[in-house]
Amino acid sequence: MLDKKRLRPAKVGTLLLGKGTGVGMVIILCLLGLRAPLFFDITNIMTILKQGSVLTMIALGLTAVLIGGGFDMGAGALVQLTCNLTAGLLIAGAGTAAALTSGITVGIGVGAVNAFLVIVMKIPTFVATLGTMFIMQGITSWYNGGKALTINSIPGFAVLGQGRIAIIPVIFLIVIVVCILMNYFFKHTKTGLRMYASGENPAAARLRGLNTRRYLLLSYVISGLILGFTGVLQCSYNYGASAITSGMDFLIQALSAAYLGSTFSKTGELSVIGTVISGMFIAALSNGLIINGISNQQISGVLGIILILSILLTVIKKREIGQVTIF
Amino acid sequence: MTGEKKALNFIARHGAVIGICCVLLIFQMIEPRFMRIDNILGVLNSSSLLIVMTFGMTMVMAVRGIDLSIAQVADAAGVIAAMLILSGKNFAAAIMGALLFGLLIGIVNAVLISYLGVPAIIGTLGMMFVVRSAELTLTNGAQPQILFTLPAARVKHFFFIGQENIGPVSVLILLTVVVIVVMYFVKERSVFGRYMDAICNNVRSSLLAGINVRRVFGATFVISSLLAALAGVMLVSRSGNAVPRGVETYLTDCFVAVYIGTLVSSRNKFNIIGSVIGALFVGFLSNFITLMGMGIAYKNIFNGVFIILAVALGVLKSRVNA
Amino acid sequence: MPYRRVIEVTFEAAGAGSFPAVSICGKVGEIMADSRILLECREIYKSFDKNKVLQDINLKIKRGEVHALLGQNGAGKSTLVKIITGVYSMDSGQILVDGQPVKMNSPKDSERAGISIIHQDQQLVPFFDVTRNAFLGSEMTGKCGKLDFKKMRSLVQEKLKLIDSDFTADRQISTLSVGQREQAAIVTALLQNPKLLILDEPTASLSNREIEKLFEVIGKLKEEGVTIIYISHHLDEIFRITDSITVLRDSRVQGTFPTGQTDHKEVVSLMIGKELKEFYPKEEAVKGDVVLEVDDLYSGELVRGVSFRLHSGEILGLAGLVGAGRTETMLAMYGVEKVKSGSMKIEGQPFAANSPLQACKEGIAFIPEDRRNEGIVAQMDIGENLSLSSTRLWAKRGLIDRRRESTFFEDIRKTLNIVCTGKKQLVGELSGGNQQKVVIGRWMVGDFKIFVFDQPTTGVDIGAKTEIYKQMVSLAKQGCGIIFISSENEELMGICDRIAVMAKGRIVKEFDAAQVKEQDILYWAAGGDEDNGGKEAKCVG
Repeated sequence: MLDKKRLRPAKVGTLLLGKGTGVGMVIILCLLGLRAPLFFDITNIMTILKQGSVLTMIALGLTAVLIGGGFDMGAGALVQLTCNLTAGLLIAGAGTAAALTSGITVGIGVGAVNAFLVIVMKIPTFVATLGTMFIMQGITSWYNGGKALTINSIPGFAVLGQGRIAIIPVIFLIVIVVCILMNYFFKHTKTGLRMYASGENPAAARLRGLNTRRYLLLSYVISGLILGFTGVLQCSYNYGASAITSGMDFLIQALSAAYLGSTFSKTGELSVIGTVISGMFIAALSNGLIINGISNQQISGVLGIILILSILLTVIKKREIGQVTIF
Repeated sequence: MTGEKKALNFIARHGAVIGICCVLLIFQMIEPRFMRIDNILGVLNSSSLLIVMTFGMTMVMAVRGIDLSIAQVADAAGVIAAMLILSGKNFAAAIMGALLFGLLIGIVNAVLISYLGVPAIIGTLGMMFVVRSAELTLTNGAQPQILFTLPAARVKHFFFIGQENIGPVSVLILLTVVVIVVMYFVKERSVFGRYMDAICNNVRSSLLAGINVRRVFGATFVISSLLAALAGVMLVSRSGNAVPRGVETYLTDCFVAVYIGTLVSSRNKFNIIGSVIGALFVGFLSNFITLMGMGIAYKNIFNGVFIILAVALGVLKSRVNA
Repeated sequence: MPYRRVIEVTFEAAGAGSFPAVSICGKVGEIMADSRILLECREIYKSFDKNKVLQDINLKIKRGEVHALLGQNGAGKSTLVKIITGVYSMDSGQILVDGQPVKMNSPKDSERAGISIIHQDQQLVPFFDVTRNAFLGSEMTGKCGKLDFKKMRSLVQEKLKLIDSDFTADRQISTLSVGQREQAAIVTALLQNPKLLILDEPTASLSNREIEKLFEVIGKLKEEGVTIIYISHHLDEIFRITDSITVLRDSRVQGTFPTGQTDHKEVVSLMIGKELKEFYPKEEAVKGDVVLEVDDLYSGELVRGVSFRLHSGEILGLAGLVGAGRTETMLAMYGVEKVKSGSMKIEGQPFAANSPLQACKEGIAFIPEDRRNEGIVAQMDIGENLSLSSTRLWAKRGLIDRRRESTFFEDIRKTLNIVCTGKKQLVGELSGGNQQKVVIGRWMVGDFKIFVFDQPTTGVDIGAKTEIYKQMVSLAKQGCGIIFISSENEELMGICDRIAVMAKGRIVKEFDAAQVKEQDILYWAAGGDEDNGGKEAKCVG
């Protein structure tokens, strides 16, 4: 039965969900651009794409876990860890290939540990990843001894984070490639489709004879792979690793991007493309706010509000209490 | 019962307490200064605000919520109190200001999470960043608010909480004991505490039994922010200055304390007594790390390991019980 | 005996010891066990703990027919279906498909044997389209593991066309209506090309129009040669669309008939059984004033204009089928679901509850239907559970008073005869009956004048049932008004003063409990109307 002419909060929510996110993003960016025309300058746009790439990559890693039905508090910390590791290796004289391999290996390893804790030890995802997050933070600060590890420009390696093809940053192209690969995986392969299903409705997945635990494991491994790789990118982008080890800022931005991305779909479906758009939007917003004279410190507050609003859009129609079921 | 089963049973039931004792003993063997009376008193003193903050987290987690913003609230509340004193207000206004701030953030959290349905992790994570941003803006990018250089007359009352003794015991510890007693009764003995237990286990049953689920759930967030603000005031009063972002690491400690605390309860519940024990354990752990001259790196690793161990033990315990 | 052994049966309720080697299909005059039988169940037994759920079940499903499984709640229908689909394993017995014995150890085995089931709550992924849902778990891939959506979509489209659906294969599930989702679930099942399709209460949440559509679909499937087992409470549906009917009662098969050769009357009498086995401690209470008036209440989709009166000292039974809107009416009254329109008065005072808390303050006590998920708090102990609805009375100055807690606990334990080791025992460890008593006991402290019992006796043993009835009677004697929802009409007749029958969201008929016939209740609940109702009642009488 259809309810006619009744504008319930649910309907407003649905409406906002369908179109609101995209329109809202465009309006906000236009407003920022109007006040500071520099914002729409082509070089600035390229800068934004470069700035947003690392964040978007982390968000993509997180999206993989969220799609599989897990959660990861340690996404940012893992990136920091592999970033430091890469910087350390490069300083010690290792080559680009070695740095890449070790970063990715560590990433996959951490993903596997998380999956082991969650699936075999039956520790709730939140606590398990919180624990590994602390351990990773500890290892990172032990490794860098509390100092920033700065690397000199290594030609082959610097291309990853600093290079440009024509005027487009290489790092952004990498994001696009990863995005296309992931989108293909989740939308056009058997395994990806099943991961979606087992994350969204495990009961249904089990009814069809799918082993949901296997897909959760896979999602952690994929996410670890992406995050490990992102750490290497971050190292190249940042000329080394900073001493700030928490990775919490990364986490909040990545979570915002993933959830904001999910508001593109009416049903709140997490999607790879949505994540990429939202990640870039968050970068553009930070950039635009700074151009408009807002300080760096206030931007994290704005991001906090965006995080809350983006999730609010998807939950407002259910209005359950926000209990946490993952610990 | 087979031998293996018996052993499992034993580990599940008493593992936590034995484990804590063993760890402390090992510390003592490595570092003989560890168990000296003055050291222990020092640890008690410095653990007091962790205990207070941990209670907030305990309350929230006892209804299956979570509050990632408490460390930031404590931080900001301390800064606010310090700034109020610096601007010439008296100690009462400073403390009230800090607590009001805690109340405000608590109410915002409660509305977002309990009444609008934002998942607690996301809602409080967002608020954590909002608070941090406000705090940094307020202090022009994390300038420390230094009180101990002020004339003693202006800060005497404010420092009373953190630096004075009544008889042989410090005010800080006495205050903490009061908070422990109050929170014990609220959480374990009161009508409110009973509602909390019910909501933790079965929201639908609680609702149908006539409990105002949203209000109780929201109230825990208000309590948690208030306690965090109190902890912030205690810290600033003790150290005599407020360093923005100085309290952030306490969030980690809270988690470890709360999860270790669940092991003390026979049903793996988040409970006040357990949280006190957990917080003290974390306090001794930090102390040991300091005594040994190890840095934050080791502390983080220890925290992570203990959190995973505690929860794994909890899972084992509930499996043995079942 | 209320039921007869019919010669035309395709299987029969065999007495102990007799082996139904040959059943005779009298009309056609053929020996069975031939190729016309698709599925055969032989002497299936199943029990949970000491509770015998299925006993000596013999069942034959003919190829290409629509076969109804009929029975009251707890008769064993769903257990039987779960055994056929490999969800449960049977204690003893045999299942034959196409005359070959098949081991059903898992749902996969049953699928392989060509059996598909559509569950009451179809499990679908909301943001997948129909195609993705349909092929989940058995996707088709083309080159390099790429999903071949074109092929899958065309297959789904084919099946959608087959059942004449009005939506396409690329529609997202979340945009479909409940009825359309049902069709999507059917399409999913059809992709396995099943020989046998089981529909478990498919109409429970459908509107009339959607039900019509479903029947069309079933007709189409039958033309395609799919055999269907159709489970439902709704007699009129069953008589419209099925070829044979099997009635289950008390874990046994009571008989199977070709639909054309039986009628409502016979089937109903088989479903009910004869003698009242249970003891109903009915005592007359003094009826007082009206405590509760409900007028023209609308809520959600299922409550469409409910009106009734409840007097003090009265037990009002609410009869009806699943989905008739009984529970939903009570939830609206109790402040859980939103009231769209209508008015309610308690002791003459208008009231509208926005939350259960308000309803409690007005003196309404509610014992919910789903004991495990809505009643008890399993991880709390008995004392704590009992205190939840009147916690303030158990406390002094905001703190729970241990002494008062003990007294209250002892009182309630004695009144309701709760069997437990003590106040500290976890409620989750209690038996079903005792759990239910704890839920009821929650309302014994405090001033409640209207009690709503929603199916309080499901999954409860006979002893506990009697205790619960006693409690209702004693509450009525104390002057409370009691609403008793039950799907077992027998107990309604045994314990109530008045019985109101609900169908399709409104109360369609009220009876004096002392004089009503169970046939009449069933008839009205199944959507009967006034003209036939009179006749039918007379016939049965």
